[in-house]
Amino acid sequence: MELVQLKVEPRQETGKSAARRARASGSIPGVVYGLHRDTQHLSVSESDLHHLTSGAGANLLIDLDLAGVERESSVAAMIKVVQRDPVTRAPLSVDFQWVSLTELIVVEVPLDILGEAPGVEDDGGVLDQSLHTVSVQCLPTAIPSSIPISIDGMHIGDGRSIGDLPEIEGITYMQETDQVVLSIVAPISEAQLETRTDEELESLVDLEVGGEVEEAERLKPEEESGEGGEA
Amino acid sequence: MLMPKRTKYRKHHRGRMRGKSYRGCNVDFGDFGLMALEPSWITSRQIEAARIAMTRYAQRGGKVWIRIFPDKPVTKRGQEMPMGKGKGAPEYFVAVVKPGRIMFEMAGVEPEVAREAMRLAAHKLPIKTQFVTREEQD
Repeated sequence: MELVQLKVEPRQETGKSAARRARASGSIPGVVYGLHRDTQHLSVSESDLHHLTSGAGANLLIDLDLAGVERESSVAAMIKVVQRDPVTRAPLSVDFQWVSLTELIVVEVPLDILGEAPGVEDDGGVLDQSLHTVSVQCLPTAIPSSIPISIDGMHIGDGRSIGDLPEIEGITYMQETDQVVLSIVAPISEAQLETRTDEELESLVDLEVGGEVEEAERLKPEEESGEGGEA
Repeated sequence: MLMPKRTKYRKHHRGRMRGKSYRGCNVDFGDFGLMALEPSWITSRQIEAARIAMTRYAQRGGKVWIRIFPDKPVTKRGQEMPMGKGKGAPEYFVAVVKPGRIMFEMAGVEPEVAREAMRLAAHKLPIKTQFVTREEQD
């Protein structure tokens, strides 16, 4: 895996006011830590970070170009977490972590579903994906971009677990082998759908009309006389 | 309808809804989500109506997750009551929702189906919402 170059600036000012100023000027405040090194505050260009996180996917090895830090051939940085605004999804802060290229690490790798399941295509089943990423232990240089999992030949009721994932040299799956990754579940029948939604609607109407009394009674405390207060 | 099995205190203060929802703001279970863009109380009836609208449109396929739970009791006083005599009786439960909250998630359907199902569900809610997908959130 090749290292991606990223130029970052050391950051002297800390705190939310400085962080807000940095964001307003187009750079994202961040921090780099790990390998028992001193934590360094830094700032990275928003556009550089966007290019880094949008195209290539997660688990990139980064060659951080940070003034005052000696670059070693056996050490790289990885993005640990990117904090984002909940509504706009704009990055607020980024954490980098130093990793040794010769030591095993545990990372989350996305799953790549391949093929077509007859249970979905022909029988109208629903693909229920329980896991979207799997936790793997490997060297930083051997992190796969994704783990392929085939759903060819799967019918309704079939499932795939961690034990069914392909064995890749240098990679150990960290989760239990019987943990379900995905399964094909049966669709509900038309009759069931009608009955279910009708029942649901009826229950809703019941509650709207007569449920309030029942609900209020249920909520009524034993010591009603004690509460309420006196004006 | 969703409501707590039992509550520690019968009546809550109303509270304020400042800021954004920094928890429950990612699509974590399904592939598509419905995000709140405004702060509001969502009643258990509104949640149920939205869920029914979604499952009805998705018909046989799809799986729906409800990511909010109405755990806040709302009290109401009777009509034409004189001032005083304390706080009213609990009437219904609401979920406190702030901007950014993923209220519903969906999986196992085509994006167009999910988008339309979420649109129908959004009509049952008292706030502006946005359709989001797992891919576009990072």
